[in-house]
Amino acid sequence: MAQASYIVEKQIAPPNILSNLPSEIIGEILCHVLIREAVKTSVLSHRWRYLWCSIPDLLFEHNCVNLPISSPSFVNKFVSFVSRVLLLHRGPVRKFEVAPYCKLEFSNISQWLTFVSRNGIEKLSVEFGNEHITVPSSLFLCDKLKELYLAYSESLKLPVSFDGFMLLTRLVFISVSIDIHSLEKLISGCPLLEILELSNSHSEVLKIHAPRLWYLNLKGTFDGFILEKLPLLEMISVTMADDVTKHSCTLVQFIDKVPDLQKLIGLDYFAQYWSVGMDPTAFAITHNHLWFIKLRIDFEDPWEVRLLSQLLIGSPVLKVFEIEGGRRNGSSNGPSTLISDFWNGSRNLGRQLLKLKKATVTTSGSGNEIEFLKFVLLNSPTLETMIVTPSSKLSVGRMIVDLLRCRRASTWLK
Amino acid sequence: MSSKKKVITLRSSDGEIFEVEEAVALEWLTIKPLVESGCTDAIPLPQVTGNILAKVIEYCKKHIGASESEDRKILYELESWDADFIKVDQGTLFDLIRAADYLTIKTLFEFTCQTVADTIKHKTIEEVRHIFRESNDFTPEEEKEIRGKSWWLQGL
Repeated sequence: MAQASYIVEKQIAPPNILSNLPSEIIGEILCHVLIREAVKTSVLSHRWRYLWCSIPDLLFEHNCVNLPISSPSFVNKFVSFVSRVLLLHRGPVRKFEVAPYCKLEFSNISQWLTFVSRNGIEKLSVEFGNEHITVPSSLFLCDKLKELYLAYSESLKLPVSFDGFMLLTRLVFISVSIDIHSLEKLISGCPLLEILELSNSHSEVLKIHAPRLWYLNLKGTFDGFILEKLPLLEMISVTMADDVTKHSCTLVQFIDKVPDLQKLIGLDYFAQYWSVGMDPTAFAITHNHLWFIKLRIDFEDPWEVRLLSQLLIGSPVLKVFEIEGGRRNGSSNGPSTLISDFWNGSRNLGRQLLKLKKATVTTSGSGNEIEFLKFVLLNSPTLETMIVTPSSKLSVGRMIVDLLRCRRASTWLK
Repeated sequence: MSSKKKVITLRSSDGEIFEVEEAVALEWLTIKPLVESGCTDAIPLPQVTGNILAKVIEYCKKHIGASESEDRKILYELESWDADFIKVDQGTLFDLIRAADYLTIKTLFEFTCQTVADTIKHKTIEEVRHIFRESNDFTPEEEKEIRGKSWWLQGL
C-alpha cells in the first residue's frame, strides 16, 4: 500500500481533484483515516471546513490526542476532543468506538451515548477502562444497534422497561459485571443475535436462548450452561478459567442441542469440566457436521481421554484437530492401563477417523500421549499432515523413533 | 466443461462493448436488478468510460470468490496483485472511485478510498494541498484564526 500511495503522490493531478469529488465519497475516504487526520482537513479550504463533520464512523483511540497516556492532562484532552467532535458532528453516526486505555467518567460516557443514540448508532464499542463505572442507561436508547462491544465495567443493569435490541446481531462483553438474570434477559431480547462472546465472565448456570446464533465464545468461570435449541450454531469456543466442580449437564447434553455444530474449541479446564460425571458408555451421539476440534486434554486423566475419544469417534466428518497435551494442575490421576484398554477397545470396534486430514498435537511425551498419537496414526487412512510439538526437550528422540516406527493407516502422510 | 456460463453485455459511455460473466455483474448492485431480470441487451453505463470499465472488470474478475478465501496464500497473492493494480495516475484512481460508487461495487470502492486515505495519512496540510493540487481559498488571517482558535488543530 505504501508503494501505491507513493505512485499517487508522484503524479501531477488536475487541480482540486480531491475537492471535486461528491461529499459522500469524501466522507467515505475520511472514514479510512484517523479521526484526528479527518478533523485536520478542515484547514484545507472553505469547502473542506466542515466536510469531516458528517463522517458516519467515529473511532476514538488514545492516538486522537497528541499526548502520552501517562500524561496527567491526557484524560481531559481526550474527553474534550470526543465532546468537541460530537458537538460539531451532523448526520447519522453509524459507528462509535471509544478505546482510550484510560479511566473515563460516567457522566461523559452517558452524554456521548445519548448523543449517538439520537443519530441512529448501529455499531457501538466502549472500553470503560474503569472497574468502578456503571454502564449508563442511555445505552438502551440505542435501539438501532446491530453490534455492541463493552469492556471493563463494574456493572450493567437492564432498565425495567427493556424490551430488547431488535436488530442486534453481535454482542461482546469483556469483563462486564452483569447479573445472570439480566444477561439471560438481554440475550433472549436480541432475536437476531448471531455472535455472542463473553470474556472474563463469572456466572452461575447460564441459559442461552438465541435461535439465530452461529458463533458462541465463552471465557471465564461458569457453573454451567444450558443451551436452548440453537439450530444454527456452528462454532462453540469455551475457555474454562477455573477448576469447576459443580456441573449442570454433560457435554453430550450440551452439544445435543446444536445439531449443526462444525467447530468446537475447548481450552483450559473445559475438558475436565465436561468429563466429570460423564456416562462412560454413552457413545450414542454423532456429530454429523463437526469437522474441527481444538481441545486441551490432560492425558493422565482417564475421564478426559474418554471425552476426547467419544468426540473423535462420534465425529465422522472430522477433518482437523488440535490437541494440547501435558499435565494440568490439580487433575486427577487415573490408572493408565484404563486408557490403553480404551484405545484398544475402540480400535477393536473398527472405528476409524475416516476423514481426518490434519492433526496437530502438543505433547509432553508421556506414555499416554504417545499411545494417543499411535492410535491416530493407525486409524486415520486419509491423514495428510501430523504436526507434533514437544512441550519440553526431554525424551524427544525416543518419541520420534517410537512414532516413526509405528504403522500408519495413511499412505499420504507427510 | 458443463454448460457455458451466462454472459452479460455492457456498453461504456464511449460506446465500447464489454462482456462479463453474470456472477461478476451480480456484484455490481446498481445493475444487479437488470441482470436478474434476464436483460439480454447491452446495459448502457453512461458514466463510465471504456478504459475505466476495463479496469473495473479486471479487478472484479480477480476478486470474485477470492476475497472470501481463508487461504492465507491466496489472500497474500491478492494483496500484492491489488498493490500492482492500483499503481495508476491520480486521474484514473479518482475515475475508479467514481465508477465503483456509481456501480455500487463495495470492495472496489473501499479499496480505492483506502488508497486515497493512505496518501493523506501522516501528511501536513501543506503536503496534502501539494499532492492533490488543492487550492487554498483561505486568506492567511482566516487560516491563522482556524488553526489558532482550535487547540486540536495545533501542531497538525
